[in-house]
Amino acid sequence: MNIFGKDTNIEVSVSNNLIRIYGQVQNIADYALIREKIVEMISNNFRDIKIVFEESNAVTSSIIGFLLKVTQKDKINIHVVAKNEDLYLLFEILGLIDIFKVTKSE
Amino acid sequence: MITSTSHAYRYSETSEILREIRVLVVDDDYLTTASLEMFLSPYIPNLLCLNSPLNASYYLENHHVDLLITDYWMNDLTGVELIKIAKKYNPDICTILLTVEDRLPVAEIVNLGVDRYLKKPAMGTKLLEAIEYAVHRILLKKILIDKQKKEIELMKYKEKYNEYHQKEAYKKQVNILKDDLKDATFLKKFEVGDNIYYFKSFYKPREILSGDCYSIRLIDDRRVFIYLIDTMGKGFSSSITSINSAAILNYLISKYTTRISFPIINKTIKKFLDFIKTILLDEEIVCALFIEIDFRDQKILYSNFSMPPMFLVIDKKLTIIKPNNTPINKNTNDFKIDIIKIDNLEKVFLVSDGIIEAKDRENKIYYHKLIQSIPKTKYMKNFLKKLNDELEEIPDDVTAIFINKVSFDGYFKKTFTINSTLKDINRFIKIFCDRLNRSKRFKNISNKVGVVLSELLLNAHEHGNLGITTDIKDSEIHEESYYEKFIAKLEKTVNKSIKLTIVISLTKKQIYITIEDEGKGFDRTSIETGYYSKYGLDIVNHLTDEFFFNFAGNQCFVLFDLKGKSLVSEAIPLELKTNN
Repeated sequence: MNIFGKDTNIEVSVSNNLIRIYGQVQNIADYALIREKIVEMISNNFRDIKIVFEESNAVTSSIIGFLLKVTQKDKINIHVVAKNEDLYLLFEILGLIDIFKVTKSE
Repeated sequence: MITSTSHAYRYSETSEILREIRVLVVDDDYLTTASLEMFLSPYIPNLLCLNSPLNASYYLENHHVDLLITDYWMNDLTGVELIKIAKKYNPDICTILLTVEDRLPVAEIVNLGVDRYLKKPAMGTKLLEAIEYAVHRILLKKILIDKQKKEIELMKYKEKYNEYHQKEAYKKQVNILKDDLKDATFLKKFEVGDNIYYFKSFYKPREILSGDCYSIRLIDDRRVFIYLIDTMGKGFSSSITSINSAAILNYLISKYTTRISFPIINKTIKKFLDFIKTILLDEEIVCALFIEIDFRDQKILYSNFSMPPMFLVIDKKLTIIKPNNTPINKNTNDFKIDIIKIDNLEKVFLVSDGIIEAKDRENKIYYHKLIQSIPKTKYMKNFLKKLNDELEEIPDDVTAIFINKVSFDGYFKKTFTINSTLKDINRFIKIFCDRLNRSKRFKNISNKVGVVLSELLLNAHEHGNLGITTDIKDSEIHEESYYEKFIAKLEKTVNKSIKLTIVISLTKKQIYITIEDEGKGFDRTSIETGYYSKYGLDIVNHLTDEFFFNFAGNQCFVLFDLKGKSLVSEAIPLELKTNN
């Protein structure tokens, strides 16, 4: 059962250990979509995952909580590329640059 | 020590070393290398015997060798020449020279640092003793490294131990300080049209244990008691006075259990002085500011014992209220309390001397810039950013309290009722932000509004209506059962809604959003201690210009400032439809 609804703002493309997120990440359905794709990548034995936010200027705490769980509990290496300056600043303010190895470009 | 009786061998630290090291034996006499290999291989698993000194020199160049046993007289190279080559590649190599020759270049051998010299045939106890002597340096080095490792481990442990206790001490200190109105208003509920006073505080000790302390206490539904204390000196001594002051004051305030109509400031200061004088040293002084604000009668009662002045903005004009008492010391008995009428009060700034005495980047005292900027400072965020931009360094503990008023009204007002389910919340945010996104004026902030709504509506849903604590949320996220199992199950049993009101003020160019749930409210400080779920409020704080809760925590308010953008002719999402 989908309890989140299907009203997502984003589109994602996955290629091996790389996930690209297009559009503005905004709501819980966006979180659900990103989580579904990353869980799939982990089940395909990818231990280093690169997440590229192509446009988004912010992310939700549910995504941050999920990525923290993946990093800390599942021991997956996450590398976030935040192409938007505001998104990079948000990660910086939240003190997450090191843990998610956040960079501004690929 | 190795002991050998008929080659019997007792295990010791040296024998352990021999099992770990790489040994090269070089002699151009095949019989010698064969017998040495037969004798030594039970003790030395990593043993290589070569007959060509040239091959040996290539081997030494490309491999790490710990012990070299070499004959002196060989074709192509002498043992001394081979040892020179070996030392070139590994200066720490241990060496034993074997020979039948008595006439040897002793000086050269000594200068070269050969560890042992043995006459051939070298076998049995003598050889084992020579090896033991030769490798003693490796043994010593190993002991030294082990010792260093242990010391490093001990240091790491001590560091962690101290860090742990410092963190615990800080937690204790913060626990003693009580901020009933952290990012909150004292109001139980607010409506469109209300003037709301809300409280923001910033507390940054320079050291873990600080000489600064403060508390903001709600006495009843109209009165707030605040104190700021700065004890003389630095380090543990001043923090002991500071912590004791906070503990006794909060104890005294907590005793006002019944609703008393008279001011508490006089009684509180008297009892505080009685106590603090018993612990102050002869020459110790305490600076303190006590204020009691009565928002119904619109007055502030204050007693300032040499703390920095209070800054009040009334009708857009700055009023500086200077101290009315000298610092507290062992002999303080009398004190003065004054009253200020606060009709049309807009802001109150209370700061400790850390900010007043700080120097700006031009090395000038910051105080003058501070008083110029206070009337123009709209939000605590601006104030902190300004401090960060303009100060070279903050030399002392910093405490700042900002009481601000927001008039919550505008030309566009609309209230929406959203079913408390993830699906309906998601649908609402999608529709709302799509409408904002279609508007030229709001397009730029539509995603930030969306993320903020997502955080606050989910907060109202999860912590408010479903009553989920931070601990439970963290644990369910960890087990990957939070949304699909835990929330889905709760949503079936709870039938509540969330009220969202949006107000747009064209004159102030501000958007206000309030969100109210049907829960009892929640402990805002517990959110900050969450592991996976602590980031939501930080995100809201970052993306909005102002943000606060009502006292209980079941209603919140956010403000987006659109200064510089014209909203007059802009289409506002007037006909927003949701599933409801």
